[in-house]
Amino acid sequence: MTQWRRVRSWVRSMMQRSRMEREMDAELRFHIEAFAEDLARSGVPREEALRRARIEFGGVERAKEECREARGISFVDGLLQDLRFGLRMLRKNPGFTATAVLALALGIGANTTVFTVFDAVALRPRAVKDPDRLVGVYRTAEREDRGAFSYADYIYYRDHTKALSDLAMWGGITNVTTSELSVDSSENMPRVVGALGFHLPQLLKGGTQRLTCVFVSGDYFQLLGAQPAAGRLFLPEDDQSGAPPVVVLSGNFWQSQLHSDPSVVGSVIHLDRVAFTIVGVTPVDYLGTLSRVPALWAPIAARPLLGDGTRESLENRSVPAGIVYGHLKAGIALPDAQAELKVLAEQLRAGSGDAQARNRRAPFARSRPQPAVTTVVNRKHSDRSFGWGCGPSLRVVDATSHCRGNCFRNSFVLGRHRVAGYSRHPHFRLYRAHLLADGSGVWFDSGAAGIARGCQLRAER
Amino acid sequence: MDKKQMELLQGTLDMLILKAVSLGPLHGYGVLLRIQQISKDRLEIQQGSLYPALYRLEHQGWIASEWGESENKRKAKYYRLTAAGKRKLQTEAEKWNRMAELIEGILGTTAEEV
Repeated sequence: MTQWRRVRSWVRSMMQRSRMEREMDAELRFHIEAFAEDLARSGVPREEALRRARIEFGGVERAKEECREARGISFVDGLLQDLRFGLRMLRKNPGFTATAVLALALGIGANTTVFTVFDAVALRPRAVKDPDRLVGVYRTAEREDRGAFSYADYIYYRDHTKALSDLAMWGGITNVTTSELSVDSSENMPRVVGALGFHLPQLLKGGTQRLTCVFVSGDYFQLLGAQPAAGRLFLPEDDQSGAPPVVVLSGNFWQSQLHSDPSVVGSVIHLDRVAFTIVGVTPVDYLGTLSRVPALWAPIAARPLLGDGTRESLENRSVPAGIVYGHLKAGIALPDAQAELKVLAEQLRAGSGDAQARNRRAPFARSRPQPAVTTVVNRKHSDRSFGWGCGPSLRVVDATSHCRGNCFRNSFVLGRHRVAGYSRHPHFRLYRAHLLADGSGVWFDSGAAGIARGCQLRAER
Repeated sequence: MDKKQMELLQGTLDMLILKAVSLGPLHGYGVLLRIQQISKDRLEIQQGSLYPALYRLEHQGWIASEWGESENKRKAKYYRLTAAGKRKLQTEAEKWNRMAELIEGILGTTAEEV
């Protein structure tokens, strides 16, 4: 209550500054005059009484200053004075001013971009179907915790597992070229130009455009529960070798290059001179399990068509193809899934023939590859480990992440007697590895990444 | 003034002001007179320090002020005790009494009592 009164008194004093000064003046004058009158009544001449009253009172200005201080106003006065002094000094030393402004601008800019990328990678809530049962499945070997599966191995596990449903694969990124779109802003140079806030004359008009294309298995969108913004997303049939080539556009690409024209669904786009049918569009800013929005999504089976490996390399069990995610079926615990995959791995090894099995181990680590299942264990726990990894300056993020709800991000891996922090997000995992290893590196890395990301974001806008 | 005036102990002015206005609303000069009257002129109060104390107490909500008319028909700012000020005065007085008792006890200790 008194706190409130204090605030009110302060505000009143600040707002009605001149009135308070007037009243203070009147009050002190009244005091001195009343005192002088009392002295005069006891026989002192009027002039002399006033003089003595003033002397007895002491410094009027000092008393006033102390009164202002008691109201907490002089603090603001002092602040304004300091501010004025500071501005004067800055005007006097333009060189220093320019340096300081530049340093601040760079600092603020770098921090903003770092946070932007952090927000995009780690904090942006991702709408995912059944996030509590979503798991990552990794190949483990002696010195590798989270290896990628070959496409053929993935197919085998997908078709045989009973503990997991919707096993899907994220199969890497590639750049493809197309010459069909009117080039508003190509993806590379103009991004940087866009970040600078102006556009160079279009140099690439009529030329080819490079686009990022992400490969995913046919059930990838199904697993994440994604809904199309137009048309449809992939179906398992799209991801068969020999299936007609199809592609899904990202909402951002659709918006920026095709003006969100719904009639593009069903039309053909030539990627690396191969005709792909556009079957649908993801929502704007849809990330899936990625850290940045690609231009296109294509089925993994289409990889050979875009010059990313051959049909044989997809069938070769020794060629790593991607990261696998799935849903634990209802009532299945993590160790059960783990045990089942172990059995499947043994079967795969026994059934796939010795030569091929040996072949498949070769490029990996020496020991036997084995699947490991990972999942979100305890959000609170992982957040704490996160705070520890990043140091106090990222606690803000830590606190924020609590309110972000059922967000799809860092979790724990429960592979083979060890618990290690990781994110189901492949890119973010890299981040975490850095964070734990070397703090200074992180700042450099994330700073560089942040600037890149910031440029990208600006260009996208 | 036959007796020598004593200087006010640090921190006691606030309590005396609260006490003075607890006996009835007073303007600043009236507070000074009231304290001198009660203390029979044995306390020396710096007149200049009275107003910062009044402003501070008002800022903290222990006294409230309003403009009124003085005995000689002039405008003056009158202070009165608020409910919060009343409680404050009570606790301050208790604290003071306890402290005085304690100090007295310590000063009155003889060698045999230790």
